[in-house]
This record gives sequence, C-alpha cells and structure tokens, in this order.
Amino acid sequence: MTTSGDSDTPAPTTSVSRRGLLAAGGAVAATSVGVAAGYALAGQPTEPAAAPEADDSLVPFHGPHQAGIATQPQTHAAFLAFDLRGATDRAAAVRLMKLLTDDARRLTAATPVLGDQEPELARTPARLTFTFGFGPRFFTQLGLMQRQPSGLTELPAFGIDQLKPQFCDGDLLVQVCADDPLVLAHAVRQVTKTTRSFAKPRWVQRGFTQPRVALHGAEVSRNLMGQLDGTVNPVPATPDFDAVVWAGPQTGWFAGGTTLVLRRITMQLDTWDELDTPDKELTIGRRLASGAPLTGTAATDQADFAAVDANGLPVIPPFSHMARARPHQQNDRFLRRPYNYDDSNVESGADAGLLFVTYQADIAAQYLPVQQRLAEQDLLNAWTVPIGSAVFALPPGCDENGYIGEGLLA
Amino acid sequence: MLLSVGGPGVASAHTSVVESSTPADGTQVDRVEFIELRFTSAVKPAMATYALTVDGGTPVPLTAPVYTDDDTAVRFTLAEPLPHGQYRLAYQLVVADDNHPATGWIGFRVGPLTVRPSTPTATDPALTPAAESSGDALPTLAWAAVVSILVVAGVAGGLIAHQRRRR
Repeated sequence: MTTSGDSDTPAPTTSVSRRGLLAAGGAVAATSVGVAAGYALAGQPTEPAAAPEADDSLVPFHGPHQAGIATQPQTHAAFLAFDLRGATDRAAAVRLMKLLTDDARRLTAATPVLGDQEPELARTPARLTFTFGFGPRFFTQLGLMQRQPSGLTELPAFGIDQLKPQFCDGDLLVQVCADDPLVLAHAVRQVTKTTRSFAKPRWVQRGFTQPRVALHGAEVSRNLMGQLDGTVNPVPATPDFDAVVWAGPQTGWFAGGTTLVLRRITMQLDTWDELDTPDKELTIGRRLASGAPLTGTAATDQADFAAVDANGLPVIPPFSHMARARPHQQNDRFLRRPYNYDDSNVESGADAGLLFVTYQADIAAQYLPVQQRLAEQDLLNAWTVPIGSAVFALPPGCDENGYIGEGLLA
Repeated sequence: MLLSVGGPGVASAHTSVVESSTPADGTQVDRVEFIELRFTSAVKPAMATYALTVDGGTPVPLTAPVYTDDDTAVRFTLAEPLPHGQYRLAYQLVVADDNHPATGWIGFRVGPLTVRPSTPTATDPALTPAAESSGDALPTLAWAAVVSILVVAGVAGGLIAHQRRRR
C-alpha cells in the first residue's frame, strides 16, 4: 500500500479497504508517514514573505496531552458529536479510535489520509489539531462505567437554559481546529467519513476567532459583543495550568487527560446594542476597549471587587458578569477557549453567539460552582441564553505507537 | 420651574430612573426619619445597591430596603433621625423592563429651619398654575410640584414669614 499521498494518482478503490489494512496493524505506516512528511516539507519551495516568527504551523499530534487544548486558539474550529451505533462494541471502538488517530497523525503532519480524495487540501499544516473525547454514554454503552473519570459529570438544568436537543450531549467528540478554513473543512470531512459506520453524526458546531495576525499583540480574541474574551485564563506550560486542566496521576488511565464542557450561548445582539458603552461595561465589569476591569487600566490588572466610588457605590457592580464569575475558592477555575459562532440565515433569522468551551480536571469541583453563580444572577443573562450543552472526557495523549483512548479501551 | 435643583444627580448617561424622592433632591429638611425613592418604572431588588454618605463621603449605615409590591419604590426606615449634614443617597440599579443599569444619587441637607433653603416659596407663580394648567404639563412636573408644595408647607409658616419679610 502507499504510505503517503505524494502521488497524484487517484485513491485506490480496491476491495482491500483502508480500514481493513489499518485494523491489521498500521503502526508501521504511521511511522513512515511521519518521516515522509518531514522530507516532503523540507523539499517544498520557500514561500515569500513568510511570518517572521518561527514557523509553528505544524502542531505535534503526539505527547502526554492531546493537542488543541493548550494550543493557542486557531482561527477556525468545528466540534463534531457522534452517537455510537448499536452494533459498536468495545472491539469496534478500538478500531474506530485507531482509525481516527491515524487520520489525525497524518493530517496534522500535512499528509493526506489513506484514500484521501482531495490530497491537495492536506498539504498545509495551518496548525491543524484533533482532540477526541468520550461522553458519559460512551462509557455506558461499552460497559465501561467503572472506568468513567470522576471528573466527568453531567450538568444539571439551570434556570437560564433553553436547551435544544440538537445541540446537546453526544457519545464521541471530535474537536478540529485550524488557522485555514479549507484545511479545516477537509479534515472534518475525513473524520466524518471515518466515523460514520461506527457512530452516527449528532451535531456539528462551527466557530471562529480573530486570526493571530489581527490581534495586535493582544493575546485574546474578541467576541461578537465586542469584548476581549479570555483575559484571566491559566497560562499554558505553568504549574497553575497543569493543576487546573490536567487530571492527576491518581486518575489512573485518565492521567494527563481533561474534561470539556461545551455550552452554546446565543447572544441577543440587537437588544445588547441598545445599551450605551458605559452600561455594557457595567454589565460585564470591564472596559470594552482595553479589557481592563473597571477598577484598573490594563486588561491584566487584577480586579478590586471591594472598591467603592466617592458615593460609596461598588465600582464593579455585584451583578456584573465578572463579579459573578470570579473564583470563590482556590479551585473553581478552568481554562476558557471559546469560539464565536454566527449561523444566522435568512430563513431562521439571527443565530449568533459563543461556543463557550472550557477545560478542567473536574467538572463538578471547578466548573459547576461558577455556572451556578452565573445562573442565579448575572446581568449579562439578559442578553445571552444557553441553547446547547455537552460534556466529554478527553483522554491523555498518545505516542507514535498508540492511539487516543488506549488506556481506557485496551 | 421645578422645586429641586435640577433632577436627581446622574452619574451615567441616562435620564434618571428616580422620578422623585423623600426628601426631594436638592432640598433642605429639618428631620429625616425615612428615605424613599420613587422610580419611573420597576427595578430589580436583587440587583440593587444603595449607599448613604454624609458631608462629602462619610458612610452612614442604611437599614434594609423595603420595596412596594410592584418594585416601583423603595423605603429605608432609619433607626434614628439623621443628624444635621449634607447627605447623598446613591443607587446602582437595574431597570426591570429593559435590564439597563442605572446609577445616580439624590442629595439633601438636614438642618435647622433658620438656614435659608434652596427652595422657592409657595407663592412662586410657576407652581400654582402648573398642577392644573394644561395637558402639556408632564405628569412628573405636576407631581413634583405637588410634592414640593407639601414640603414647603411642611417646613412651616416661619419660613414663609421669613420670605415675606424679605419682600
């Protein structure tokens, strides 16, 4: 079999399916693909006017943690949820995860998958990442409830929710992110093709942030309300980040993994625009232009929630989003990695908002207290409504010889 | 013109959410046992913060706010009448129907009657015809005029006599 799609010949349509080849043990193929990709890239002509900083467009797939979590957010994302088909047992799940891992290995190395019908679309790294997750029902259906991480818990219903089933739940998550929308679209098609016989597509939620070049040194993108979204976030490669995000060694097979919460939050932008800027800032607790808390001057300034003005009123209103979201214990913190979405169309009207995506070692301990406070009171709730909700356990990373989820499924 | 000195003090770009108050904004009174704010429309009690300060910012404790059933007015019944001084009751509110924040304050002085108040007299021609004058008059103007007349009357004849002597 061909190990990479270097040639321009059409993909083989023989009876030896790609799946069959891999199920027989495709680790050798994966290794040689990695080597071939390195050579292929070195041989390409240099691009004029490339980015001045070091080229980080290739995000390594292998490692102790999955990529796409600590990775600086790529411009485009697609979150795909699938439900396991009835016939998918544990052996089938192993085959599926091996196939998906192989797809991810290749595509993130700017190499087409086996049988890739558009190999040209696989040549650009574009910081492509794949991140895989298992929903609660994945464990149930495969008889693995006793191995479900304690950090993965379903969220209760909140008074502010208006959840639509088509944006909720899911047995299997594939998170795909890339700086190039065409690379993303191709990657999404490949994993969907791979998964379809094992699990039925449940929903797709697509989003976008500002491209890195547009951020002018600000580290976070804005959202559709105009806010800088992501100040006060754990910083990758710090002990604080590790403690907040990664499951610890006591979690067994799950060590080095994390949990993901995805809340689809629609924004009522027309009525939000009726507020003048000072009122928007009082609602959020931060200046819109700079992202500074109302008690400070820079986005990175620590907020002073006790500060009062000359008349004795709190500078940061207690009903503001930031006041309600702030941690009360050491522990109620998580990594926020949101994406904007805008699926407005002529037939159904406006549908824009935020894919609020968080990563934390333990949902109940870290995410739930904050969400409960916000559901009880947050003036921003007047212009935002959660319409989708899902939770997943994201396994640790793997090396060149393994596959995502091996610790659970093997 | 209105009795009070302008409308209630406004700290944001809004028209004020406080339609009137007791004591009225910008007035002097000799005894304050409660403070009441009456709003142009219902507010959200769970999101309201109030602060009372005297003579340029010294905090004064406030009792728990008590709202009318429809949340269009709030009253603070004071444990003791307020000592003399220049007071501000500041508010940080959310209007119920549109969820817009509203921030501002009312000011009043508590002092003895011999001190000349900033209020015009009951013989101010603007007051008497305003209440019944025309359909043009804004209800709030007429209402404020009625309250103002009552406040002036309550301050007692001594004040009016003082004004008359000056004329």
